[in-house]
Amino acid sequence: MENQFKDDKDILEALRSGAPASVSTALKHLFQSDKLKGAVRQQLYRQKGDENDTREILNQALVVFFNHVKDDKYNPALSSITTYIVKIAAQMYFTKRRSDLRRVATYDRSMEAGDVETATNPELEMNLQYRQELLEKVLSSTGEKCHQALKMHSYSYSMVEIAEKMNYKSADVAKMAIQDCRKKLNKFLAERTDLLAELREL
Amino acid sequence: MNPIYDFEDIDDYLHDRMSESDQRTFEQALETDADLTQRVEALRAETKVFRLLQEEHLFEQFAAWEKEEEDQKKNTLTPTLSSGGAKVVSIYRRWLIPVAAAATLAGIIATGITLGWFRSSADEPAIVKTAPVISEDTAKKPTPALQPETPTNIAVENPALPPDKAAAFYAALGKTNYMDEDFSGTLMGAGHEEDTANNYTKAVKLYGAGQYKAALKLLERPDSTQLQENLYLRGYTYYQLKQYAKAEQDFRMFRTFRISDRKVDAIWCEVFCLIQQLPASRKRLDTVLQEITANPQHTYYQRAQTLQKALHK
Repeated sequence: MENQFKDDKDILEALRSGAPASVSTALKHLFQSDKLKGAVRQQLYRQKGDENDTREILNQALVVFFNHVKDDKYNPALSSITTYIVKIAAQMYFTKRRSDLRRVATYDRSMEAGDVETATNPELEMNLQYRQELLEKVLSSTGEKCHQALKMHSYSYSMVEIAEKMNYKSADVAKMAIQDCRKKLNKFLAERTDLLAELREL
Repeated sequence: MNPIYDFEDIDDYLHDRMSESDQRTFEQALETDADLTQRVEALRAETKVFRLLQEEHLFEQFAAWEKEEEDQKKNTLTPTLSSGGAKVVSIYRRWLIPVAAAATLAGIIATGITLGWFRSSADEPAIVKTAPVISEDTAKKPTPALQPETPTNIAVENPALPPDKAAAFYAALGKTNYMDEDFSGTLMGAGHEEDTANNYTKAVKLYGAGQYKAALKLLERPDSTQLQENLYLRGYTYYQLKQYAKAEQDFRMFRTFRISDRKVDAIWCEVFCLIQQLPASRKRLDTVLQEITANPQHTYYQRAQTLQKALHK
C-alpha cells in the first residue's frame, strides 16, 4: 500500500479529525503495518501467543489506542504510536493469559515492551464479549435498523451518507430517523437502571 | 414524568444549548423530579453506547480488511503444482519466477545436449552424475527421524525417469515450491529506531539489493539477541548463493527453538532446500513431507500433499 502518512503526526491528525474516511485510512494504515504487527507478534510470542492471538490482540489494541486518542490520553511526546500500541497489546495479552501465567519470570518478560504509560485498564477495555453483550441488551428495544443507523451516526458519518447507506429518502429523513432512534434508546435506558449502572462503569 | 421537558430539552441541557435562566429552572426541576433525573442519566449514557457502537464498527472494518488481505493473498499466490496453502510472493518479484523457471529449464536442456545426457545408457545413471553432494553439516543435522540416503536408492525407486527429465523436473519443483520472503517489509526484531544500524538490518538491505555474499558476511556471527532473525535471513542468503545444504541447516535449527514465529515457515524452507538437493535428499524430503501431511491443520499441508503426489508420479 502506498504510504500516505509521513509520520505519526500525520496519523494522529487523521485520527483526531473524526472524519470517517480519514480515520479509516489511518487505522487501515496501522492495521496493515508489518512493522507494528511484527512488534506485537514478538511480544505475544514471548508470552506463548500464536499468530491468531497476534491479529486478535492487535485489533483490540488498535481500538483502545483510537479511544485514547479521542480521549486525549495518548501523548505523542512520550512515545511513538507503534511503541504505545505494542505496549497496550502486551498488557492486554498478559491480562488475557494471566490465569495461565504462574511464574514471576513470565510476568517479567511480558513487561519488556518498555516503560511507556498507556493509561490502559486491560481488564475493562478488553472484555469485548461483555461489551458486545451489553450493547445488544441496550439496543434490543430499538431494532436492527436503529442499531445500524446509530452505529453510523456514532462514527460521525454525515446524514447524506447515512441516508445513502440506509436507504432513507433524504438526509433530512435520515436525521429524523436518527432522532427517533435516540428517543427510543433514551426511553428504554431511563427504565433500565441496571443497564445504566453497567454503562456508567465502562 | 415531567411533561414540560421532552427529549430535545434534555439534549439541549446536556449540550449547553439552554439559556442560563432555562438551565436554572431545569436544574430546579431535576431536584424534585426523579423521572427527569433518570431520563437525563439515560441520555448521558448515550455517549457510552455510542462508544460501544464505534468499537463494533471498527471490528467490522478490521474483519473486512482482513478478508481483503486474504483475497489479495489468493490473487498473488506463488504458482504451485496445484492449489494449496501457498505463501504470498512479493508482487514486484512475481514475474521473476516463471522467467527464472524457463531460463533454468533452457539451461539444463542446453547443458544436457552439450554433455550428451540424452544418450540412453543403462549403466550410466545421469541422475547419480548430476546429484549434488550432501554436505557434512546437513547430513549430520540432529533429527533422528531423518536417515542418510544414497542416490542409488532414488534410481531404484524411480527407474523409469530419464535423467534429463528428472533434472528438469526437479528444477521445476524447486522453482514452484520456493517461498519468497520480502525481509524489508517485515519487522523481525528490529523494533526500535536504534536498531536500524545493526548488522541484521544492514544484511536485510544487502539481501534486498541482491548482494548476498556481503549479507552473508554480516550474518556469519549472529547476534544472540537476534538469533532467530539472523538464522532465517541467513538461510535465505545461503539459498540464494545455492548453498542449499547450509540453508537447510539454518532452517532446521528452528526445530530446536521452543518458541518461534518462523517455526512453521522454516519447515517449508527446509522442503525447498531439500528439493534443490534432489535426488540425494529424497529420503529426508519424504520424511519432512510426511511430517507435514500427518497434521491436516499444518499451514503447508496441502502444498506438501501436492508435492508428495508430484514426486510419486
